[in-house]
Amino acid sequence: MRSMGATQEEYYRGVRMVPYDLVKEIVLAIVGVGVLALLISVVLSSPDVPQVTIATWAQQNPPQTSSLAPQPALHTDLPTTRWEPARAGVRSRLRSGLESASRSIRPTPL
Amino acid sequence: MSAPSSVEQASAAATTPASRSWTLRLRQSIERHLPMDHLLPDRQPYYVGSWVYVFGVITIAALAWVIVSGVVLSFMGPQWWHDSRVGRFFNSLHFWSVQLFFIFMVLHLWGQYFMAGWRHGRAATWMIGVVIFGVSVLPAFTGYLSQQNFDAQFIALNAKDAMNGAGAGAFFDVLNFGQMYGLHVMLLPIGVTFLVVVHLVMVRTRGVVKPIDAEGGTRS
Repeated sequence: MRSMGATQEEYYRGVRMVPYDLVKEIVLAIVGVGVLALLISVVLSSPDVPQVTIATWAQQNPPQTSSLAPQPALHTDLPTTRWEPARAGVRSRLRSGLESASRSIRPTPL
Repeated sequence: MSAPSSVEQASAAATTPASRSWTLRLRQSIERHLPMDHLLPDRQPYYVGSWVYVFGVITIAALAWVIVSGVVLSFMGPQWWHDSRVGRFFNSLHFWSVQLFFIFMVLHLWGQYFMAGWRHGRAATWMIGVVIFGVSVLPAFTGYLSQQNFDAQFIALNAKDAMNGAGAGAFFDVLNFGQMYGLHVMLLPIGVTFLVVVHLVMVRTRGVVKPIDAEGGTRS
């Protein structure tokens, strides 16, 4: 460690030192990056897929929403366009398994 | 040689028991290892003027914007960024600040890697930087899980298998929105910020490493 300089003064001995404004640098960096982030946000926006709520689900499929409690998990005709291709296999397996298991579950009369 | 004055005797009596004071020892340690002229230097080696050193400070600037936009989003609640135009704008600002943070952090990491920034007793500074990069992935991941849409569910369901396979599913439940949101807005940002502060203090304590083959610089 001694050869590396026990202190900064020893480590920098013989190295040319120049004036440096650290606070100005960080302030300018924050302003610059902020402007860049704002511009990108304005131009590109962000990938915003709407959230799934009970309200949107009920509007799209009122009978399903009000008929069976376990039904959504089994017959998922929800707006699942992004979900559908990747999880179709899993869902079909889930459906067959859960359907057989849920035959004993009675619909909730409303 | 004259006898010590009463003031000097009182001073000596006062400082002797104080040498056992934890507070005094902590203060002396901070003053010894991190004096203010190291913490906020007004002179730096000439080589710090290179553009490659800018990546570190702009990474911190991006982190500042991530935190500011994240505080606004967390204050307004987890539906706001879907329900209002202003909320969607802050969501975009948060998202792009994170992208900039990761881009600048990777550039800083590459720069320090090719400059061998771990030389001359700075291995711990380098390793904490690498740990920051690894830990930063977690708030990014929990952020995607906090979107409350099918994207979030798709990511969560696929990640659940990986978490279970890794044995972490029992205490890190990616299907639990409350847990993921809490981690995202509280614990993980505190962890990343703490590590960044430690990293900065280490850089300021040791100073910036000399470039390879610069004045007095070596490869080892």
